[in-house]
Amino acid sequence: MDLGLTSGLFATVVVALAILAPVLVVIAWRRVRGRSAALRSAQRWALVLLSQAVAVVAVLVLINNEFGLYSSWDDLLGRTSTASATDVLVPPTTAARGTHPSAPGAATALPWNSGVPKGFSTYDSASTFVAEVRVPGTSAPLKVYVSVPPEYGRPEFARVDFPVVELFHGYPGSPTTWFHAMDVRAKLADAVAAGATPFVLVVPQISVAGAPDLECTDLPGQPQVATFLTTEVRSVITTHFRVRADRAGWAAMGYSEGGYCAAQLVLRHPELFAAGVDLSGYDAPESSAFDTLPLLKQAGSLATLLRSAPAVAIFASASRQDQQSSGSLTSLRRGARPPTSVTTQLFAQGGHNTADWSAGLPASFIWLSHQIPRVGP
Amino acid sequence: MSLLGTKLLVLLAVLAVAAMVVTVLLWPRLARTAFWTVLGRLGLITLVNALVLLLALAVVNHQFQFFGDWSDLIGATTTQGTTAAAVATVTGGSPHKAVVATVIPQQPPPPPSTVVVVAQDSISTTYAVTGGASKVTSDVQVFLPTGYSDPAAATHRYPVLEGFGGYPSVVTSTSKAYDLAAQLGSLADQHALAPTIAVMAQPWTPAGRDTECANGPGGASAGDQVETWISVDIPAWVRSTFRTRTDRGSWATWGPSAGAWCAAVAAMLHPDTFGAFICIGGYFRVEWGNWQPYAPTDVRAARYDLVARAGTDPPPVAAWIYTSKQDSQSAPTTLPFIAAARAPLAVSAHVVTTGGHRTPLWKPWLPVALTWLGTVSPGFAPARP
Repeated sequence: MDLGLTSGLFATVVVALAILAPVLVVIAWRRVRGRSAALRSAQRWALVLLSQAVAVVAVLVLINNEFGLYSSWDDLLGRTSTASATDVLVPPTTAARGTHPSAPGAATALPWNSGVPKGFSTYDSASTFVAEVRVPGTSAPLKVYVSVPPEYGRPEFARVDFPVVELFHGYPGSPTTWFHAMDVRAKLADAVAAGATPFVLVVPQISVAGAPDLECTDLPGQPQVATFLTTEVRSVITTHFRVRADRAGWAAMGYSEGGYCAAQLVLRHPELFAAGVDLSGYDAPESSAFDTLPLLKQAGSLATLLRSAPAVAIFASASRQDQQSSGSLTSLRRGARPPTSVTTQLFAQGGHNTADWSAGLPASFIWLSHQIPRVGP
Repeated sequence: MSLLGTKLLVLLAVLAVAAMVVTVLLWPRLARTAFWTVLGRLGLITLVNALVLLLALAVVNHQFQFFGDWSDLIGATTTQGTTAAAVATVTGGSPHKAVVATVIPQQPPPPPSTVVVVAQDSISTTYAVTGGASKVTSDVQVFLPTGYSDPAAATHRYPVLEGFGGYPSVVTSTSKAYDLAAQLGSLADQHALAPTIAVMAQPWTPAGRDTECANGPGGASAGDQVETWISVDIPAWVRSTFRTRTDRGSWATWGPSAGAWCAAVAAMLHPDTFGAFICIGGYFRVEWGNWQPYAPTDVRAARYDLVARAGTDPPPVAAWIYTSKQDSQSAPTTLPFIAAARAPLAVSAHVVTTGGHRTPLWKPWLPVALTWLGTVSPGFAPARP
């Protein structure tokens, strides 16, 4: 028997009581006992007031059912916790951006309690892992690093699949640059404190020792880096981590050549990614590996990829002093057509360096959070 | 007599007490068990009940400011229009605009609106604005940010936040319930949001009609073009009257409940004017109430299915959305909207598991939403301290 606050049964009971109450008052009037007239009068006043109260409650219940003001007894009695399992944010009392207790290395950081995924070892912290992953077309594997946010280990997020940002480094370069010079984990924590989505960060190695600069593309006879970055990496991550497998839960971001990689892979694969961030990237492949492959070079230009109008969102930034990247912003804007969404940001100052890119990371994560919102199960 | 004043509360209280006294005094005379006397006693009790109920309802209205006067109440409880007899066919459609990033060509300006000042207090002025294109007249409450009148700000132009209250409400209800001016000022002081002009527009016009911020089929002469009034006439009037920025990155809409629906209608159907919107406890398919301008199968009403639009023809706007899974007014269309939305519509969704449909739950989220606006909409970005 469901006597929930908004149930039909409860409403019927209350309305029935409200209708019966005056009748009961009339019946009970004569039957009040008491020695003094004052006592009897007091009892009658109590009866009248009680019937008022029942009528008012009935009307309030009907109003509540109509407008859905209070959804349950718990809601009415204030027994709901605003920090429930699927809550996105506990609303802060001010809009101030405070310190984040979840920064890596902080004394109050919550312990990682899900263990190290099979095949991975820890890198430099309890929540950053590394593994070697097979690359099609070559025998040498490439390293893939994974950093999970503090929310990943909290019990209330135990059933949440986390969205992913795949991060690409520059050329020549190393994935660990993201953790040190770019300080991405602290920048993500800053952004999360401001309301961004707590992403799982996946940082693969994009260059193969001994091979030319492949610019995240599958070239004939070479290690198939594009397939590695999209299929192999995704398969390993979705198998070993509690992450989303759908395109709406994956984004890519990169700086310099990594920015070109992020933009071109996202534009090429709208079935795999929802959004990409291109920090000081460029427009088309320039490596000598493409010299004998002009068609592939043209097919890899962002302007060409935009023509198929994939349904993805791209954010690209560059500094005015970096002519190649700033020129790329113009061609991105010009080539975009719906449903592709392109947002560009041109900085007056700043250069082609990790300090400037790192400073812009919180804003990039916040932009990504608008493409991949933070929603509970 | 105003429905919001204390005079009404006092009158009802006096009547209720008087009725109780009369009941107690007359009771002995109706003590015999005969048909008329029993009826008399029941009648007295019912009269007392009715008066106490009216008093309770008046107190609730005084608290939540649903109805301002009798015409509001009568308007809200009467049917305002029946469905059109014939289903109109759609002739042509809007040409598909070539949308690139955030630049969309603006429509030509509408004829000018006419304005009368209705009320003024220390922080806001309320106008009755007759829209130049829509010919609809309704109230608009305007808050100017601190420093607007300083000589140093004489050339400064401000972003605009256009807001709508729930249904039913009077134009001043929402800004009061949410402390809107104080919130905006506090965020500006903390450099989380640029100083912003806030405009609350009253879409429930004529009094008490649940217009759903829609345009009826009758055109300007029918006086039912509320979508045009809120999305075309009011922005044009605000731009021509106050020192505002004109780019879509400097214009956003917001609202709670039915006001959130209005905010979504304005921004999603007019992305040339608005770049972002904030929906708190809203919905995304029109919910006709006491006004039914279209037959259920009329294709023109398909314009007001924003869930479908989010998936098939998403506009390039950014949305901040809050809903509770237990909110039966909001969740059934909000969750599908969030799921359907795709680029270039960008959604920042905040879905909680518990809680109903009321202001105390929503109010703490407004500063969160406004901070988001400062990060995502260029015109609202705060200046560096």
